[in-house]
Amino acid sequence: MRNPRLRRLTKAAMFSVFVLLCAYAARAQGSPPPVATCQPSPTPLVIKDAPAASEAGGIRLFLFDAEKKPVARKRFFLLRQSPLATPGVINWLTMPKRADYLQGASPQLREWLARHDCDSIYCPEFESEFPEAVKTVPEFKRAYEDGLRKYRSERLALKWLAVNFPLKNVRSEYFKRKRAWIEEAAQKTGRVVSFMTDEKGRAIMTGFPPGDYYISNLFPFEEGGPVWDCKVKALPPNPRQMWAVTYVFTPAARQTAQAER
Amino acid sequence: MRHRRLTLVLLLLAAAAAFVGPRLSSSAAAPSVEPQQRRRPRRTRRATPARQRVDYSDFKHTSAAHRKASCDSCHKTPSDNWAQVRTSDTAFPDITDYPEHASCLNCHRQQFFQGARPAICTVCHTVVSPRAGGRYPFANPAEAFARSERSKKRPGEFGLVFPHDLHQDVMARMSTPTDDVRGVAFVRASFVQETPKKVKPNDSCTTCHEPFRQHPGVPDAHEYDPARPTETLPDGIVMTTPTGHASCFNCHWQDGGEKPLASDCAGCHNLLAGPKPAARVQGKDADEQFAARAGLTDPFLVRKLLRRDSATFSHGNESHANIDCATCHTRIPALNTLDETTLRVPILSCGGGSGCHINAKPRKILNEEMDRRKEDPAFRCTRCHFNLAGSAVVPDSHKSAVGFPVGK
Repeated sequence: MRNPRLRRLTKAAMFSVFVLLCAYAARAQGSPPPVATCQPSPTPLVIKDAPAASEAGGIRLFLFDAEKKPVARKRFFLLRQSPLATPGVINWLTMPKRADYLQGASPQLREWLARHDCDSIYCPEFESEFPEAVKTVPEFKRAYEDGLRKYRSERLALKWLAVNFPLKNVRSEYFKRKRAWIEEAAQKTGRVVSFMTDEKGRAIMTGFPPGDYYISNLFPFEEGGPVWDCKVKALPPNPRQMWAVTYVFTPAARQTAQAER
Repeated sequence: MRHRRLTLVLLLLAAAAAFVGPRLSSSAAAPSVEPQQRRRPRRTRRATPARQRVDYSDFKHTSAAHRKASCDSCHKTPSDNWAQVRTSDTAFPDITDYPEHASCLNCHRQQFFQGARPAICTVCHTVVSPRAGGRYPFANPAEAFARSERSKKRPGEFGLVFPHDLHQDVMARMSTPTDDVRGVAFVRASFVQETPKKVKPNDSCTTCHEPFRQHPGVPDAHEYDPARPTETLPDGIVMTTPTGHASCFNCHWQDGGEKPLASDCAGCHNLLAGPKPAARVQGKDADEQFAARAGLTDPFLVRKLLRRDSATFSHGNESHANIDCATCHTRIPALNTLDETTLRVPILSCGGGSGCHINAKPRKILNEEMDRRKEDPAFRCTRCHFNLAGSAVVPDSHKSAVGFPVGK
């Protein structure tokens, strides 16, 4: 410590380490997935005789994908904070990936799951395909044989195929991790309410104070898909106002989104 | 000697009086309430507070001791009789019988051997006798129990927890189904017609819910007509909801299913703090007579109808059946089966955006009825309502929906 040069060197070294740590921490948050924005049509205006701000507000939305098809039956969140505007709020690197939950799966099962594109093995349309799957996919075959041994009924063994499915990580682990990740992200960004679009990609939300909010899916609906980050204005629930404004959500084409990455 | 005989006779008389007396008094007391009333003051006169008498014939899950015990400490999963309770083509491992005697004996040994006819036996047994094995129906299968006299005397102690958001997510597809996939797997049976106009895509709601048809096979030829109030109501007034474990255990069975497992009853059956609320809710639109007209006898379906704000709405109506459930049930992710307020459908769903029943020009049902109500406060809004038709107060939601001043 007596040597001032040594002190300066020590300080410089400590500063360098600090800068490196900061850079690493910033990188650890991960780069966000491609962003999609929305456009209100027309611009929302609050009518003069609107009820007080304490009254419940509402928003009506139309959501379309890059091919202009309705984004049907998908979960969105109404948030107080933009998920992308503030860096570090969400750690995008920790987003679970479906491929990470396929350890131990046979090639036939991987092929079967890829064909169905479902977060778990509980998608309702699966049941009708189980009779064929038990012949071709080794994991389903094993589950069926287990069921047959336990329940002594072909019908039950087939219907209860999921409970005897041997790979727990494939069965629903990805879904659980994804859900937990989304819940955490929603909490960090000030979740107000979550909603689901209907078959035409419409969504109506009511029951919260009028004001500015953000709408996001928080988690891409498909690999490489966009995360919406749309600022919206919730209006008092007078239908003449509420229905007068439509937010049209249109992401960039997928190729563009991938190129951005 | 004489004294001894006299003493013997007196003793015999006293014994006879002691034997016959109580029997006469009890047989006289049985049909009458009076003797019980006579006895009551004697109890209240006690200086120290009387120890609370426990009615062992009335089993309650809510009692402190029962609440402490885990469900599987009494209920065996599955019951031994699961294969006999249902027909072979519908049977599945299930909890379909009362717990064994052993599960009660640890704590209730004293009550089990109290008197010739222990009250505790009547919890399950119809006749208290070592030779008679007759029992009341067990609460599961629920459909069979709901039809029994026992169900009327024993209101449920549990509310059902079903997280719609979780199930919706787990069953929702990642991508929009392609046209060739649509309508393959889960087409509603009710949609199968000679010339199907539109096949509703699999929306995952239909996995558990479908319009209840009291006239199966007969297509919806008519709608509710307020001009003919005695006419039978159309099909599809209410949607069905699974009432048993059949649609749960294929994923939640303990062999390796998802939590809550079948053996964890409390994972779904929430013990209510008080008695289960009555089916009929004050201020709602339907009543038992209306339910009977709709052909509803199933208590579960009747209960669903009795909590509706609009009794006459039919899910089975062709126009309604082609609309996605989420269009009207806008708050599915926030739906809480224990909180009826979260089940409400906002009036704006009736045409706030589509203009189906709410529209200024041309004026639609809600606009017309509100106009007439404004002109004549005695006007009855019968297009959507039955009992609420003549309601004194028009809700703000209705006024707001047609642009009338709110709160006046």
